[in-house]
Amino acid sequence: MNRDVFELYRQMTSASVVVAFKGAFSQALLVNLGEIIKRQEGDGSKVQKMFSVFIEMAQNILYYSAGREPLTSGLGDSPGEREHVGTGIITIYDSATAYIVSSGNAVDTLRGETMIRRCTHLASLSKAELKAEYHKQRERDAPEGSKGAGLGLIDMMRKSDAPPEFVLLPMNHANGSDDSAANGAAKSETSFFILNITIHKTNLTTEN
Amino acid sequence: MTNLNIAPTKTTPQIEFNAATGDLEISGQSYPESAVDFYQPVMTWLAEFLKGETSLTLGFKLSYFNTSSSKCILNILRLLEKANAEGKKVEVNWHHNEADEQMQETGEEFAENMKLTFNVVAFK
Repeated sequence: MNRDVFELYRQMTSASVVVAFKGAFSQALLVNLGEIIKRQEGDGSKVQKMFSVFIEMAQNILYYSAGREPLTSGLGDSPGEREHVGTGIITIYDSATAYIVSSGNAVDTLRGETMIRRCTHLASLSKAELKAEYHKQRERDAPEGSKGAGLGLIDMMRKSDAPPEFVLLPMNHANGSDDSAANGAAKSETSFFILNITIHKTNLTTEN
Repeated sequence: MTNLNIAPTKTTPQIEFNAATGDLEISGQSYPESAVDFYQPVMTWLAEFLKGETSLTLGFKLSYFNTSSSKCILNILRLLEKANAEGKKVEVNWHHNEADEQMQETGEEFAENMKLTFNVVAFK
């Protein structure tokens, strides 16, 4: 066990991890992590971009992750904070030239497949087309089952300086993963959705 | 009509709506857990205010907001656009830090499809 911690520490050090968190993403937690990021990295426009991608990912996990936990910490800081929050993982790597913001969380497989199709479509669009899509979506009523505006994915892809990476991996329930949503729905297959967004630290690409 | 004043928090902006002068301001950061819940009383107040008043100036002075807040801001602007079309005098000023190009662009994008007096103003 001690060796595992050391190995994790070494990996995170060599990969220049700005922040890494695995667990329940409450609103209070993401606010605190966001403040740590800004304190460490400063308040420049690239950090602001990275910060906003982090917040969209964290709130997506909070709202939509199929892995859920009761919020018992009493850390809630906003009225109406939900009783259950989503679990997942977010890491931010500093690659010297770019920040790579990655999120992972359990999803119902069917929903995950829909998200992959949506990501594939959005990733095929130019920045100008993404802008048009963003504005079209913002004028629409919020999608069924959406806690937000259905804009998070489009916004993250608009901000990404490199092609976004996304993948859906099968999850193995047998090993007792705490992200499993299998409780009470034995047939409901769960997968793991991963999204990577890259923010260059200098302007290597044009915005449009 | 009473003023609407909401103190800022880490994730919600300050709301200062003065009913007597028609000077309204939304300032700070906006990424609450539920943007819809936060902006609901703001929308309700505005709808009530617009029944009577003929002129207002709404200033935005935001340093960051998330996508669900963006949707709520659009809803506020569409409400003002409607009032404007009905002949009320409505002006929107979008203030951004001069170094914050992202916030400037965001303001310009709101202005693009808005039939309103919408000024994007840089401050130091």
